[in-house]
Amino acid sequence: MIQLRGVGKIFSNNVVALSGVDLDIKRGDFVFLVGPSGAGKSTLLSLLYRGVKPTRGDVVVNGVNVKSLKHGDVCGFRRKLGVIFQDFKLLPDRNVYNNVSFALEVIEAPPKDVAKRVGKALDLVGLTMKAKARPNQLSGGEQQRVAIARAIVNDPILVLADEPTGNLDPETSRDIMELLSDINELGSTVVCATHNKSIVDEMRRRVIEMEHGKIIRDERRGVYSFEGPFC
Amino acid sequence: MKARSVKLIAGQTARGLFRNFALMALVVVAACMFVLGSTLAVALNVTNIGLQLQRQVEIKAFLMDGLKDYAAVGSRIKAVPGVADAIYISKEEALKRMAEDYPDYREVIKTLPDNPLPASFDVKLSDPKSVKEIAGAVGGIEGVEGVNYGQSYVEGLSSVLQVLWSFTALVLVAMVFGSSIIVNNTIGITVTARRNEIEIMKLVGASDGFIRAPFVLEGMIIGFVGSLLAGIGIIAGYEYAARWVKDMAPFVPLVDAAWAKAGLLAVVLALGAVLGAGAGRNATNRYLKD
Repeated sequence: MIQLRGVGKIFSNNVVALSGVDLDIKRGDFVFLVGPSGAGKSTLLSLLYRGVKPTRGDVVVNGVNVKSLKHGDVCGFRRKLGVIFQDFKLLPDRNVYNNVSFALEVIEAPPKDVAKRVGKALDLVGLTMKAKARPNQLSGGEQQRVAIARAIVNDPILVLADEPTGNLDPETSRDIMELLSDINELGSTVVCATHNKSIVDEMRRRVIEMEHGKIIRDERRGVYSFEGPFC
Repeated sequence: MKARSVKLIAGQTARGLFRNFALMALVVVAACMFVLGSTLAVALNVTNIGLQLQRQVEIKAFLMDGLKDYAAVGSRIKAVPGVADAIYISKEEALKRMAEDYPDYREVIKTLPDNPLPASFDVKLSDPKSVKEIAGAVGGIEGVEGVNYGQSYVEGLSSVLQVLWSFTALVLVAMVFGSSIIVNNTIGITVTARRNEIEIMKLVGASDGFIRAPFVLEGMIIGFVGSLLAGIGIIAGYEYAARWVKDMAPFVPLVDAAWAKAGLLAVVLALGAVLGAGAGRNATNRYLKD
C-alpha cells in the first residue's frame, strides 16, 4: 500500500524534516507514528496525501508515485484517502450532515449516493442523532467524530490521522481510537501520528518511532516507548 | 458541470457574500471604483474638449482676384484628402462679415472706394491633425492665391493637447493599476478568511476549478455591486458637475450625452466585475499551489 524509498524533505527555510526514510506499510495495516514534536511525523503524513512533495526519494501510495503526480491528478488521488487532523477542520457554518456530505458533493457524487453514504458514515461514528447540530454545539470528541465521518464517507483505502486525540480527554481519546480501529477492520489502512502513550501501549499495533526526521524503531506489536532487553 | 455542482457553488458563493469581510470588500471596491470612474469621466471630458478645439481648426483659402469659376476650385479643394467641406465666401460676404466683426470700423468700411477683400473658401477638416499638409495641398490648387490656418495657434494647441492627453492617460493607467492592487488585496482578505474551507476542499479531493469557482464568482459579484454603487455616485456627481459647469463656464463643451454616461457606467461595471473575478482567482490560486 505504501512504499517510501530514501525519502528526504527539506523545507524552503532549510529545515530538514525527513532524511533517508525507508518504509513499507501493507494494505490493511494499522500503524502508529510516534516520536517527539518536530520528529517528522506530520511531514511524513503530509507526503502520503501529497500535501508536500519529497525533496528526494520516492513515495508510492496505492501504486501512485506522489512525487511525479501531476497537479491536476492530485484531486483524484486524494479522493481515495481520508485525512483527520487534531483541530478537526470542520466548517462552522454547516451542520454535521452537511460537513460530511460536503466531501461527496465537491467530488460531484450522485445525490442518491450522498444521502446513503453520509447516513452510513454518521451511523458508524454514532452521530446520526446529531446530524442537524452545528460544530459549535458539539463536544470536542463529537467534532472529531464528524471529521472521521467526513474522512471515511468516501470509503477510503487509506486513512491518515495526524494526532486525532491531541485535543481530547483520555476517555474520548480511547473512543476515537476504537473508532479508527473499527474503520481499519472494515478494510482501510490506517496511519496515525500520536503522542498518546496509554492508547498506543494498550492497542499494541505496529509502532514506528521517529526522531530528527529518521525512523529509529519499527515494531510489529509495539509500545510508545522503546523497552530494550535490559530494561 | 452538473446542476447539483452549480447549486453547491452558488451556495458557497452566497455564504461568502454574507460575511463581514465581503461587506468590507464591497465598501473598499465601491470607493476604489468611484475614484477610478471619476478619473475616467474627467479623462473623457479632457479628450472631448481637445477634440472640439481641434474641430474648430479650419483653413482659409483665398482666391485670385477676378476668378470666375470658383465652383471648380471648390470641387478641387473638396477632393483633397482630409477635407470635410469647403464653403464659398464671396468678396461681398467677406466685407459684410468684417463689418459685423469690427462694428467700430463700419463707417470706415462704408467709405472704401472698392472692396479690397478677396473671395475665399472656408475649408472644414475631417482630419485636423493633418492641417499643415492639407493647407499645403489646398495652397497648390490653381486659382488659390494663399492659405491661412493660424499655424502658431494650431501647433500650440497640438502640443498642449498632446501633453494633456498623455498626462490623462498616465493618471488613468496609474488609477487602474492602483485599483487592481487594492481590489486584489481586499478580495484576497475575504478568501484568506476562508482558507480553512479551501484546505478542506483540497483534502477531500475537489478539483482546482471547483474550489476556485465560488471565490471567482464572489469576487465578480463584489466587484460588480461595488462598481454599481460607485457608478450611481459617479453619474449623480457628473450630473451635478455638468450643471455647475454649464452655469459657470457655458463655453466648456462637456460630454452630456446619455450614451456617454451609459458607456462610462458600463466600463466601470465591467472593470469592477473583471477586477473582482481576477482578484478572487488570484487569491484562491495562492492556496492551490503545490
